[in-house]
Amino acid sequence: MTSLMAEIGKLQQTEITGEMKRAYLDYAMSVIVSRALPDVRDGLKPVHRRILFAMHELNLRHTSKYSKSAKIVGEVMGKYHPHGDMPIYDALVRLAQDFSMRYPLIDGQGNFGSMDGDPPAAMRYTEARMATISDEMLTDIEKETVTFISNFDATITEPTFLPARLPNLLLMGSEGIAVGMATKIPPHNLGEVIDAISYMIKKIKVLEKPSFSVVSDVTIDELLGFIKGPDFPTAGAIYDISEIKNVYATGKGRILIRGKAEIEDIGQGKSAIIITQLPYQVNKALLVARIAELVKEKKMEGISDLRDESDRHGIRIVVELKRDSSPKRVLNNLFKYTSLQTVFPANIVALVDSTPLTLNLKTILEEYIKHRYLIVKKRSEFELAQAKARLHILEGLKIAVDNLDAVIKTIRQSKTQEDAKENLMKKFKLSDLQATAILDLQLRRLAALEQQKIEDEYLMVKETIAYLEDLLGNPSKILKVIKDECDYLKEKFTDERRTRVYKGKVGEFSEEDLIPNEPTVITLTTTGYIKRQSLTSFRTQQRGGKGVKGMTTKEEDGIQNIRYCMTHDNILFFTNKGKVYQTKAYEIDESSRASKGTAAVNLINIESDEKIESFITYNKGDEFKYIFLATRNGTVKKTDKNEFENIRKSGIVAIKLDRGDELVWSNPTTGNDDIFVYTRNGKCIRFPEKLVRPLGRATRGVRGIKLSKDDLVVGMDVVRKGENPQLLTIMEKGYGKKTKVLEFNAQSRGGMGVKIAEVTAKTGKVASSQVIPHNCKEVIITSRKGLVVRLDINSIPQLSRATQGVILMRFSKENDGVAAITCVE
Amino acid sequence: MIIALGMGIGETIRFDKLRYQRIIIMTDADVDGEHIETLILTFFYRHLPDIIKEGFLYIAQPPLYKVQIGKNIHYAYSDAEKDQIIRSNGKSNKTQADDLAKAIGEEPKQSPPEETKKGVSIQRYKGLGEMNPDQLWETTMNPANRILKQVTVEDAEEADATFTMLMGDEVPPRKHFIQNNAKVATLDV
Repeated sequence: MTSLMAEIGKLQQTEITGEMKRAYLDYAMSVIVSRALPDVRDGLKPVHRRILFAMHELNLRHTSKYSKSAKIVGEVMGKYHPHGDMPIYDALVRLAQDFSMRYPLIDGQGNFGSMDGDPPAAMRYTEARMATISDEMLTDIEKETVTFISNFDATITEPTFLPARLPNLLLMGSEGIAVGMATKIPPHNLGEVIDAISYMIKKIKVLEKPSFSVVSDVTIDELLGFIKGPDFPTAGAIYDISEIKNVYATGKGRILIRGKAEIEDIGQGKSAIIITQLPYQVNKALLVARIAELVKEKKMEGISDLRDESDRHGIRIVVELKRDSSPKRVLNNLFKYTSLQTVFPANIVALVDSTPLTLNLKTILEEYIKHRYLIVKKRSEFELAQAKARLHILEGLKIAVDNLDAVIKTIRQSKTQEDAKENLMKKFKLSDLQATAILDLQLRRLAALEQQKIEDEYLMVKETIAYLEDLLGNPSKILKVIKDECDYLKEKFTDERRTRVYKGKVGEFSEEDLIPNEPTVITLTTTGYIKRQSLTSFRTQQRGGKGVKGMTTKEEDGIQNIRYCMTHDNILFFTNKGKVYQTKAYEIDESSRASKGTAAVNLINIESDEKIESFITYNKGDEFKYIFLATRNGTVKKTDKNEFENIRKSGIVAIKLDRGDELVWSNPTTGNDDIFVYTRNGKCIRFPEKLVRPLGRATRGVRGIKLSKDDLVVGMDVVRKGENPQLLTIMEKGYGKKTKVLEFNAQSRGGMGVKIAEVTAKTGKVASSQVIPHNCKEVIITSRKGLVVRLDINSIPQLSRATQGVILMRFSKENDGVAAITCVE
Repeated sequence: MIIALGMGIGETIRFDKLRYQRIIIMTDADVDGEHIETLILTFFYRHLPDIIKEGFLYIAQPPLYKVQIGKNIHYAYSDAEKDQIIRSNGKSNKTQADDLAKAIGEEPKQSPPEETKKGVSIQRYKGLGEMNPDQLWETTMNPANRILKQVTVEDAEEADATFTMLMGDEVPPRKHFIQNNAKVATLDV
């Protein structure tokens, strides 16, 4: 034992507590300060910075040839980053992935991995160079703008941060786990960030004393006017403005992201959910596997097939649904149980003067402006020093040119170079540098034109100096330079926001804040497509025109119903099965004139054999008490509107129907109105609604009109008391007319009614009849084939009840005919 | 490691079966090495505390730098020692120090001229793998030259609290400790 101890060598005692604390602290601080956290100025972690700087030194600009990734990694590892090659390559790969970076800093050639989590090709295969935008990270680095320190073996130097003209911390985002703290910053849209910075620059104050700082009284709310939220490269949608605001106000918060999924009709009564966008950082292959697993374990029902049809054009995951399933419910389950909906746990931590801090948006932007201020200042100081040095030389040259003969004589009389220099210095009061410059002059510079050039340059350099001196003495001018450079970035690199921002929480619809309340036209087709168009997409034509293509319908589809409303209005959809569903007008995507619209299943949870027949649009200001319904077989019913207040997503019953009957019409009433019911064979009945007593929702109605054999109801209308509008009646073959309501006397409900039009073979049966609202100026007639004509209401003649009317619309196609009419202001 | 030590672990622990009386932790001389050292220390403290109590646990001290001046090789175990070596050996070659500083890209501000003498080459050992076997023997393992640190426990309660704080499940105390002591850490870039 003693002999062994003799061999132990020099021994020190170390107390375990101290040893642990020391070792742990060294490790923790090193990871925090120089590994896992980005710098607030350039948004880069050391490994990223070293990659960019190494590529800068290798001259791998976006205009040069690609270089092997292995070469870059070797350069980074050997010169600046004494760590593993794989972490360096992984970092490089991430900078090149267009699904990881909103604005990739590296332009990669080869396989850089995919959203399926496929690994990139090995670094001996892939090649890389800097992206165009990376120039903006490195510009001015040679102008003594940033601090350089020795590398790990003190052989060369590297920058501690980059001049970063880009507000890169926000653009690139970041993610890192240090010790005792971590960071997670989402990427943003360049245009929006620049707008916020430009706004802030206008309000900023620069304090040079006691220590340099910038302050502004800009509020988070003001900044949120520009920066709407994170903008992920993978698009998707984010929700809940209050949480987004929280992130920007405190640096912490949980942002909900959803991918984009649409329900599509795939024929044979089946539909499918098509996923075209995923939340940020979601692995597509894992998502598909997860859905398959849920189906297999019977945790998710209603899915019959699952395919990933993604290709080089984009993502497309097809989730085919069973015939009897509710697409909306399946989609909600996808959001609930898979990563089609994820949370981005933002935790904005970055290094400010080598200290890790949790930052809010305002501080980040202030730090950016501060950083740019110092860079512009240092750059200007550098340029000023260079200009002054040049001016000094030019002054010397001017003296030489002005005294050319004397100078030449002096030089010729000197024995040696040194001699000549000294003589020049003495004789013309020149400095050493000036004298050397004169001696270095080539003879051809003595030509007259060249002499002028010296003069010109002298003036130009003087101007530059004046400009730079003025700039350096004037903080507001430096800020102006920062803003101009920001504007340049915006002009060059800005692009459309990809991620949609919803102000409400998921399920709470308050998009109203975002969407202007404006007139719009809602169209419903016979196969259940719903479309919203702005009013301007129709143009007024002369009576008898053939119409413009109003809507592309699928084969054998036609226009069922058109209503004019405001975008903020509620819409109640009534289906043939007597159920009612609710939505907001703006929830229907606005589409162009020739698109076919959205399948109803995308909007509401209707069953596959259910069809929307009519809808009511209303807003809070509307003064009506009841909802009046009419069926194909002439049954009518009225129900208090309060009974329709809480409508489940899955719909509620509006009327109980007899076998074979369908609910087709719905209208709001005040309780004192008159009801008009029209039939296909040209009959019309008018009766006061008081004759129909209000019934609960889930009840049958009462008889409204007695129909003859083969006859069906084609319309139902409500006329307010005291109003005497006109009726617009359109026949299937394009004939139409206006008729005074006064021509119809009120009867008791359940009668046969009187003639509203003379139905002949020429006119066809009554296609539609309706009351013309008092503010109506124009009428839109839609054909079964989707042609649309817009007429001035005054161009339609007013005729008495038992007449045929005049031709309003002609049809070039066989079997085409009037499908629906709507009146607009 | 448990098999090598021979004394078992947990319920089957038998201290008399321990095969060695010197267990030396030798990790890389960078911060990651320090991290591994803390993990190993925690393992011994929590699972084989008797080894520490008996004074059988040691920490080896590999050198941080190799300073080569001409043909003479010196090893430095700290930054101060490195500076000292350069200062005492480099005086004869003071000429052109500035040129060299420029040549190897040293910023004059950060590194005093003493550090960069002609013919001085410094290698920072970040990993044990950077050394040749004989160099490792010479500097770290040869009892004639090496320095070992014997791990002792003076205050069991304080030690226990430290391990709980640094290695426990709760993050806030750890964060607090790091923030309070951030200034005294030795950084490694």
